[in-house]
Amino acid sequence: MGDSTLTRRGLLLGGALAVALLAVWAAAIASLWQSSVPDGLALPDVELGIDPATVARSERFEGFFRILFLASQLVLVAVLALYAWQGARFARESAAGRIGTGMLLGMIGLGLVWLARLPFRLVAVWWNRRYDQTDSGYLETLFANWLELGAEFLAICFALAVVMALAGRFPRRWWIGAAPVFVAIGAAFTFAFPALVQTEPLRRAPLAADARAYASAQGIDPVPVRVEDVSDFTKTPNAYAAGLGPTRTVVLWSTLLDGRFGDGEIRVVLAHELAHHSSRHLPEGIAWYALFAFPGAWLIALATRRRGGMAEPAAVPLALLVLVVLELASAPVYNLVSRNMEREADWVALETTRDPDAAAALFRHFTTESLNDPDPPRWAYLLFDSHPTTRQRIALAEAWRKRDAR
Amino acid sequence: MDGHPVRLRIDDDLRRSRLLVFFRPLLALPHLAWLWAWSWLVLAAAPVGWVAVVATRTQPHPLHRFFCAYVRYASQLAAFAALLANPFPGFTGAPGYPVEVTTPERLTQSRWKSALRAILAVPALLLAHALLGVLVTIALLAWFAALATGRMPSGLRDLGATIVRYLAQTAAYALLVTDRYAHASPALPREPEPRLFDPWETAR
Repeated sequence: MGDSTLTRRGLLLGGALAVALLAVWAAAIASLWQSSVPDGLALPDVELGIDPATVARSERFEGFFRILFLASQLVLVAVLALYAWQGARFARESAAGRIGTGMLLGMIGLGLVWLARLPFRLVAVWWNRRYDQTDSGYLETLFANWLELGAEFLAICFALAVVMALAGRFPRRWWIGAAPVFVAIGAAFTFAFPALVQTEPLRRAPLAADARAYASAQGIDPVPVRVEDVSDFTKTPNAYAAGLGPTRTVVLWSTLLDGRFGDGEIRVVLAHELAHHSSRHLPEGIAWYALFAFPGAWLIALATRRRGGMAEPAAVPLALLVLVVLELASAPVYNLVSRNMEREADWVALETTRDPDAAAALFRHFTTESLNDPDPPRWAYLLFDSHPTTRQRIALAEAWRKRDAR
Repeated sequence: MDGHPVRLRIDDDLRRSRLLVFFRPLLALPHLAWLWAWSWLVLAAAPVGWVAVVATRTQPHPLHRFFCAYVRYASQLAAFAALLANPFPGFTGAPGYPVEVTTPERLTQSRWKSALRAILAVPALLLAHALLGVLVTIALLAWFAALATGRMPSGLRDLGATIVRYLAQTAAYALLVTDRYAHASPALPREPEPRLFDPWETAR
């Protein structure tokens, strides 16, 4: 058998494998995209029912944040591009070996990211204070995130230790081994997250009883409902679902329970967060992450080859830049997936509470209290919004009412 | 003091990178996590070394190397965290850091002094604990000074280095790397002065 025949066979096999992997990837996406919201559900035109002055105020409030975010991302990419260009020089500040020096360069990169974002965070605090969304001080903002930053430093060191050790052994194929490690870490973090947040049990017995009834109605075991005190740094109401399996939890921010929201509205929130668990959105989120972790790691491997690959510390600054650019580029996709899940959680909450009036009241209330722009521009919606707009959510409640009336 | 087998060697030019100084507490975090893990292993191995020294008067080779690497690594980390040295240290305690302790070869030790080491080390450990507080203060002062000037004040560096040496000597004593008690003199070792020729000495 000649060399050219072998090469052709190798190419054919490689091509077939790539096509098979792409097919599996596409099938996984199609499966994860499934939603319990009825297919072809038409959203009716609805009146917002919010005072126009409030709408204008929320548009101004969010509009400024959009500009601030875009500016901060531009600065961030510029800083990281500069670091990718010149950052390898910091390797001479290291007496550590290959992996230790890579860790140092990774941490310096994160430090620069923190510095680049700092002015924007301070401006955000100023804007939030101006609109009475927070009582946080500027100094508090400056020092509040050090613990979080420390955790990020440790995380990047661990990630780089894994990647650089694998790349030292498998210079071109390290990403195949690294992606599953990161998915496993993501899953472990999701599992452990409820234990990392300081919360206390929900003390309002009727709401806790409703949560148990809703969990049963959604076909899952009771999920603990806990309250996180966030009053020191924000007035924005919020809630979230966290944990996997035995650690599943629903966490309500204390700002949701400070008297501004009625019990009917809080019940909708509880049903919505429980729906994230009953619809398995958290494991699905990990699966989505896995689908993008492999191509993402492959792109980083490809981009850093000219710097000697990820086995070399000099490639770390460039890898950081590629990672941030990939994150920015995938943000619209992430938001699309997130909106799909949130829409499903809204729908399941409506099916559970059967109270579209309370749901619509809650969504309106979010606009008046959190100053969510109820009708953001299309580009901003696609780029930034992880939830459906207020108008879409009110329309969904109305669609559910019409469907239920039939 | 010059006779102590755990010595300090300084090869530092006092220059400091401001960026590394600014983020120093965070840059030390992965090392602190590593030291924490390593310390548990050392705590688990220490009784084994103690039994071996009491029984045979010498530390087994692998344990001696392990403890020496630990003492060197902890000293390098202390020097980095307290800004006594500029570069990011390695994770193995390998020699070659600008501020580092040199550890002795394996020695024959007294059985009785080794048997009572846990008790004998207490005063040195207490003093080491107090000196650690001083080192933190030095680090805090040095952080501002180095951030402003890009250099480490030599006085602060030398004071900090003396403390690091004491900490290393205490750890080495407690871990039976040496049987010499930690020496608290603030003097740093100097190269021996060359003796001047004294004609009167020979004339007498």
